[in-house]
Amino acid sequence: MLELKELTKVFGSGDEKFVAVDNINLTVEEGQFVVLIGPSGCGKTTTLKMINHLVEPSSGEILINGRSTKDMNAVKLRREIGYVIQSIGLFPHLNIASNVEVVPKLNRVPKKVRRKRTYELLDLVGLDPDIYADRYPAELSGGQQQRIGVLRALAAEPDLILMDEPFGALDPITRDQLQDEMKDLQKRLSKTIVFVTHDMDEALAMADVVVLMQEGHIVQAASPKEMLARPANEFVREFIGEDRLAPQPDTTPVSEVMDANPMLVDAKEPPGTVLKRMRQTNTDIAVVTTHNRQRAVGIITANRIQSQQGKGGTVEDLMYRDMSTVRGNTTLRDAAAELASDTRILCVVDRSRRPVGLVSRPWLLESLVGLWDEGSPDK
Amino acid sequence: MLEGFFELLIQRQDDVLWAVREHLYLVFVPVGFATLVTIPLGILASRYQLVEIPVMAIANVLQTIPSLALLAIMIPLGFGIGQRPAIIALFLYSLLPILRNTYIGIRAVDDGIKEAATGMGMTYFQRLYMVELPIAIPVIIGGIRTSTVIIIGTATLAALIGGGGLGDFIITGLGMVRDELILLGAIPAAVLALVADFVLGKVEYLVTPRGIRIAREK
Repeated sequence: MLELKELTKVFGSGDEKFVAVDNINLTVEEGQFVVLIGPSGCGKTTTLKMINHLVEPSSGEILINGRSTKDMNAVKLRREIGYVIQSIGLFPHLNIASNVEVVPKLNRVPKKVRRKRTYELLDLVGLDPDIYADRYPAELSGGQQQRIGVLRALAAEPDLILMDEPFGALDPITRDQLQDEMKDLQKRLSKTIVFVTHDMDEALAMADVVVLMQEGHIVQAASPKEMLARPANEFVREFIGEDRLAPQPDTTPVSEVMDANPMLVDAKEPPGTVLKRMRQTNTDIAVVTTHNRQRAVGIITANRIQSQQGKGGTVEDLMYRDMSTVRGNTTLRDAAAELASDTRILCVVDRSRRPVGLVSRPWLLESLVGLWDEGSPDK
Repeated sequence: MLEGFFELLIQRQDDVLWAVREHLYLVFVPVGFATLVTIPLGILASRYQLVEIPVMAIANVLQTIPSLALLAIMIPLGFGIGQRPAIIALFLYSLLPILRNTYIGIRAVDDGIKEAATGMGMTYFQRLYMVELPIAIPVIIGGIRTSTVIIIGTATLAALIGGGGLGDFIITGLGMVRDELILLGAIPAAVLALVADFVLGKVEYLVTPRGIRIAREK
């Protein structure tokens, strides 16, 4: 439906040359919700604005339904593409209905037909036409204004809509609402949308395809799921952020959620000393080790020491011997399975049974609950 | 003094009316032409910096020249004395407020609004006509109002180069040291200025689009 071919935009020349968009290629299918995202200056807005020719490409082509936009009249092109901007830009001197109808009016659509369509659109977003059609933008809240902004873009029934950080100027709650509504609207009306944002949550929530850009290039273009599961490189990982990458219960290794600094005690230590240390560091659990802490042999808890007080000996005598061990790359799911039995603690060890971490059941449960918040793993 | 003024007013009411008519002519003609010239110029200046810089500079200079000097200089410039040079000088003097307000009025339209208008497929002229001018008109009228009030005052000096108007009374009165005569010119002029300001203020209000009036109240 929309194709960007070797699209480039250069500002300035000679020493002051700035390549905003560097030879990008992108194909957008009909009905897709594509989000362009990236750090400031990555070229996402410039790319968007080249689609409706608010910015002239330096080289390359833009094809809409197979036709190159180079030879099209820019004004006519824009009337066929919806455009929603961050500052909303409703015309303050016109009432809501007139605002929505601007493009149909430019296209000489008869008033009755225009009006009918406007009323339909207002219903679509839950704004009672009888109340709102005659109101003025100044009487509406930010969220309502931007809804009108979206309707205005839809009025001439374009197939393609461009949105430039449209919810950026709204408060977080309104933003979430509008994100939902927009996604819903898009599905219902089967519109193709190209959406620019710098908010990763927004992108992941709404996009069919996320296009991550950096310094004028496309670093990765993939579905949200794909991008989270297989980020193309370090930049992508960083941009998405570790806490967003985490939610993959099927593939997250235990090493990412374990306590990586477990208390280690020597098997020959007296229980009293160990208890003292535990109190000092506010720990309840320690891994009992031999060979200078290179080998895990058991688990000792503060409770255990206290209940066996006075019995003397070393921690080796008191410890729980049948501790379960797993390797660091064990997935959480598998680790959870281990913990499902009586075991309450998992000791994470490396190949030579050297202790590297601890996972307890409550800890694991907490991690799992956090992960499984958004959608459930496929069974 | 005031009784003398009222007596004189009644006694010479025909002369006063005539002077008022002359005076109004000295206001409407220059301001009228200035409006016709400066609004297109202001629009051009708002769009093209190449126009903005020289045009604004010239209007500024003209305004800075003391009005009396502007009137007087018409004589050596060869325009002679009488109504015509007065009107030319007053025309030049009334340019700046209207020009500046037209320029500012259009520039002050929110960038987001302009971007939305262009982005949805308006040509430059459609944007100007459907969006920018309707929003800018109150400001432009404000400029006309300022100009009018200034010129009503400045026109009293026109008498010095034979331009007539209410200035005649004032200047004669000064020469003959007759207060009532001075007032005969000064008071109607002041009243004229107040009325014009009031009326044009109303016009300013009326041409403000409703949506913008509402926005202002918020």
